[in-house]
Amino acid sequence: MRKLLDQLILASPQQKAIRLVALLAALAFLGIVPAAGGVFHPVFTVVAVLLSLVVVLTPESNAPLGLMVYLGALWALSVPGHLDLWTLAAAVVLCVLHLACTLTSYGPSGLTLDADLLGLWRRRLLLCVGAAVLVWASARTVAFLDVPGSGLALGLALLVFLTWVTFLTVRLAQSRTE
Amino acid sequence: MLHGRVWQPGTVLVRAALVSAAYAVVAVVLGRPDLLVLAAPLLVHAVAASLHRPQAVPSGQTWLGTDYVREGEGTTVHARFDDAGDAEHVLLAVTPHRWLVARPASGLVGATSPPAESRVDVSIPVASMRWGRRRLGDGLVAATSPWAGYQWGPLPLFPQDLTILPVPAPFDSRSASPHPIGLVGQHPSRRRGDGSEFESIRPYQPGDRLRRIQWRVSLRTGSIHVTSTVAEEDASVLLLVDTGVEVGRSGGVNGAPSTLDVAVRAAGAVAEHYLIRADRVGLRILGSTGRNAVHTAAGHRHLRRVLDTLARIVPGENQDLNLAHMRFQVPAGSIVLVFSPMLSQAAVVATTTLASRGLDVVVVDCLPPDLDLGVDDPRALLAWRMRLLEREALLGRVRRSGIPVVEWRGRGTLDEVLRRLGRRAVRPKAGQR
Repeated sequence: MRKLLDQLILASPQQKAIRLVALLAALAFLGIVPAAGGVFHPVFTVVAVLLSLVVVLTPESNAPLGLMVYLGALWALSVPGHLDLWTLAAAVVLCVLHLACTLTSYGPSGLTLDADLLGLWRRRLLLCVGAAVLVWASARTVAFLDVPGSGLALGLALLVFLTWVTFLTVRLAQSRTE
Repeated sequence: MLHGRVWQPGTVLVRAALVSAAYAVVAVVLGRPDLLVLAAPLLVHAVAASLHRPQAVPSGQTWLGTDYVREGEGTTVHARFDDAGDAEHVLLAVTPHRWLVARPASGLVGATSPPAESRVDVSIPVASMRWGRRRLGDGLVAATSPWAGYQWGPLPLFPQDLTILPVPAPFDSRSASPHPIGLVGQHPSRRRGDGSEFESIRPYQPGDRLRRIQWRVSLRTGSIHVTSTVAEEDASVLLLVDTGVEVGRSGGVNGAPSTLDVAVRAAGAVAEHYLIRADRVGLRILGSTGRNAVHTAAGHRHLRRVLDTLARIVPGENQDLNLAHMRFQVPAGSIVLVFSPMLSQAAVVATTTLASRGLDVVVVDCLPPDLDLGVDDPRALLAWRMRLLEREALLGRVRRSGIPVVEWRGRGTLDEVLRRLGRRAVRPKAGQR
């Protein structure tokens, strides 16, 4: 714990700001859950806040993975599946949380990232948010058209997913064995 | 040479891939398109990071800008990465050490690699705030692929030796050496010869140069008189630096000095002063197990040798100093300057031994008046006061042996004592060599 606090104290102002952004993004997500029509559960919310604090202390570890899985589960369990603007906002906030943690993974907490790299990540953030907007708009269009459920579409979706998982598994396995 | 580790998927790629996959599965299974919206940005990141998987493994090397610097001066730790075209960002992290300052202070510097550039150079300026011989440049290097998907390293950097020469304290002396010897130099000697210092006007003798004839006196007296001068010779100085004890907390080049800081910087200043004036200087380190002697010689290169030996001093390295086996090898006519806080018996014994051989010995007291002991314990302070009383007794013993003791105060420290020694030199004396 002392080492973690030392890291926080020795962090550059930029890294402190990035960690603060990650914390604010997690809190914003928790705020969006009741706003999107979800149930506010104090215990689950406190657990999420505690996880967020762990993420602030160790953003370069796998703690953000746990937090994002937890937030996703919270969303899936407490929010009805509406495709309103709150969903898009939640996607943006989750993306910001993920990318903030990504920016802390470049090195120790004292590192200050240069402007070129930050500019690169600004463009990447826009790209990721753009993808979320695209999926959101597509999903809303499909919902608006009230297309009936199709086993073929589901099978196709699962096939795409399986292909992606296989591709990813092979890639990661290759890296481990090299 | 840095080589070895391959690119490994980082936590970022794992997180993006796993979270997006989990969200997508739940979205498809539960029929929740909103979860697909949440997964979309992460999926884009995971796909982009996977597509930018690096192929070439970088190799690198590090080096220091220079091997020698003065206290407070900086050098640069350079790192060069070859085959780094697949890396988007490279990081150099220099391990912090005492007396080492880096810019930025964290010792961390990163660089974003330009696209399609296979060679990336990163450097970090470092400076050492205290003299000595240090190993620096150790640390870690790492690289990250585009979209932060894969990481190379961190690989350890090997430390490299850097010699930090002491910054000589301000020093100047207008007094001539009491025992000038040799052929050329700037110190007026006691014998007549070709020089610029006036000695007397005397009757002409065969062999005198015509340009020395003093015409006014010759016309007035009716016989030829000439102006005679004294020869100018160089001096030989032996510096004896006591490194057995270091008292006080050193604040580096800009802070409060310890006793050894004063001794080393003062010895460096005196060496520089005499060597610039073409005199000969030797050095002996009292309490060193390594290179503890520099022969007496002259020249700018010799100054570098002396400063280099001073920089290698390790305080308290040799606690079992056997003076009976120590050979000072003092050249005849040398003046011995002992730089010591006079807190050890060994320093006193060495000083009195040299003086008993008939040599001119001067003790330069290196105990700074603003000494920072770095302790607040009243018992430690009391012990220090008792130590100071013992030191006064030792200094009294030294003074009673006829050895002058001067406090180091920079410019003019040695003027008065050298003048006194010069006067004493013309008187007959008995000594044991």
